[in-house]
Amino acid sequence: MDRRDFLKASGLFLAAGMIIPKVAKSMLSNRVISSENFSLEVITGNTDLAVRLLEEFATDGELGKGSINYSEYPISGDVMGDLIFVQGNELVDYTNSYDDVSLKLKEIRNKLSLPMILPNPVRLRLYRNSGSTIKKIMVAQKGKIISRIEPEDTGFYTLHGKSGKLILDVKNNYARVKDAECKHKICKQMSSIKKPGDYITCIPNELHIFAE
Amino acid sequence: MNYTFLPNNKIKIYFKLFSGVVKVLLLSIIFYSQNIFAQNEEIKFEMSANKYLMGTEFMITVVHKSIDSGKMAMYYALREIERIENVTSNYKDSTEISYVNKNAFIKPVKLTPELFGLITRSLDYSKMYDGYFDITVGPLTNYWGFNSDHPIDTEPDKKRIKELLKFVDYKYIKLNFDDSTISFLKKGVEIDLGGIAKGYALDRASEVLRKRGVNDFLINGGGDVYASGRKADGNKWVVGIKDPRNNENLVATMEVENTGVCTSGDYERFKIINGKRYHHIFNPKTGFPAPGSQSSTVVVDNCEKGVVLSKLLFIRGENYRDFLNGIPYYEIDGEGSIILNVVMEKMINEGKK
Repeated sequence: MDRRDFLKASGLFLAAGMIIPKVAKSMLSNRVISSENFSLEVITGNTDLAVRLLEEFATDGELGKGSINYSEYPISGDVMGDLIFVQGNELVDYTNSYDDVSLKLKEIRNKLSLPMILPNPVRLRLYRNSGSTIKKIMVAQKGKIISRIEPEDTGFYTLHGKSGKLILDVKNNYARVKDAECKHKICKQMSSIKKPGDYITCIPNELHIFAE
Repeated sequence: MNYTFLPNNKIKIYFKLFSGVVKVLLLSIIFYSQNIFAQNEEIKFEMSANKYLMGTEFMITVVHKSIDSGKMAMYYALREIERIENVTSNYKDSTEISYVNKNAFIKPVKLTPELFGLITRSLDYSKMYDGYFDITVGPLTNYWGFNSDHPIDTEPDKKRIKELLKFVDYKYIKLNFDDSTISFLKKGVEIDLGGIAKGYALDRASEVLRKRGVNDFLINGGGDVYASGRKADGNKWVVGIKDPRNNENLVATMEVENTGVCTSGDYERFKIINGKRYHHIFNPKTGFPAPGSQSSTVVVDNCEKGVVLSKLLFIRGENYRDFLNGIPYYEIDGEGSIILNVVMEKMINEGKK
């Protein structure tokens, strides 16, 4: 082989050497999140750090391309703080996996010293395409989550607000206000909760009921 | 024939090398193009915040590449609305307007440039629209009580309303441009900025968001909306018009960008007494809730103007053509039929009639 051939051949190897690790890496990390529904929920006492870590995680492309929804709510009471990752409709057991995404999630969890019981923590959530089925009905008062209701738990829920009681009717993944002890009863006229993103607001009671 | 200048095996080597290089090149092109696309597509976050202000719920949705900056911008925008509420609300004793209402008949009251500007513009609207928009409706709104926790629950007293109408006229307000003071020419006059302050607050909140580098957002202040830029998926924001008699349904939706969509409806605050519906949008000339409309929507780039025009359209009904020149409007009249102009018809996606 003359010098020219050698250069060409070595160039080929060099190029291959640059690409193969990439291919290998992409084969190893089998978790592909692009375009799929996901929900990454962190209950923490350190909001600033958690926001930074989640933002880094998302901008690294670990949550796929496209826009991501973000929500933030304080929760009242002592709550177990943790990091929960749901993909599609399945809870991901990232603590026992060793792919890229799982390793990074474990790192975030460690940096936030989770899991841990926290007084009045904040719940941060990154999510995409929350789908058409309601996973949880959240009740917030003055911007703080006071209770979480499973959409399958049919029944009347009595919520106590500033100007009296509000009775929430939950049935078959559907929620509406049955009655309220306020003057205008605007919340009763407001549309019901049928899909994630829907909400009901009772202004005098300062209650905000929304579905995820 | 004999090819002597290139041995067979050498052709094979060159061919192998060549095809190999092509493959590598193709592969690398694919990989690099993937990388380029990945870099171009910036991850954006969509987030919302809501707060009870000005007697209604304000909800801001923001699309931004940084969670922290987006959150910060929403926080300052809500704070700006709160600040405006603390200037313009006459349900709080500590506000500037409450001070004006108590003192402007006794002595001229010096106003901050902001409130002076807002009142000046309100009076301009009154002059422009023959007093059908009027900020001196304070005595009337107090009587009906829709903005307080105690709305009227008995048949309205016609005689009392006639009495109160004597205090309702924008001409009782005198502004002095030399020292920016306000004085009332009649005792008992009371300003209620409820008809304009929400629009002003929406405009100010939009400005705060823009100054903080957020250009894609939607602010909803109890039915009045300002949409700026695009949604996270790159499409335009979609704003719906509610069915006034069935709030679960939308009668129309429209895609909007950098504009306000303001709606006045008789379904937000009302009381049914002896089978008759009394709502919170009054005709300042009669003192009674304006009949003839169920809801009115206008699309205007400035929300302050938008909230005024939607109310005028609601009150004036049939005479809307007089003052809406080329502004898209959508009105549902007292009988439930839809009246809209050509500009609006082009904007609307559903519910064309």
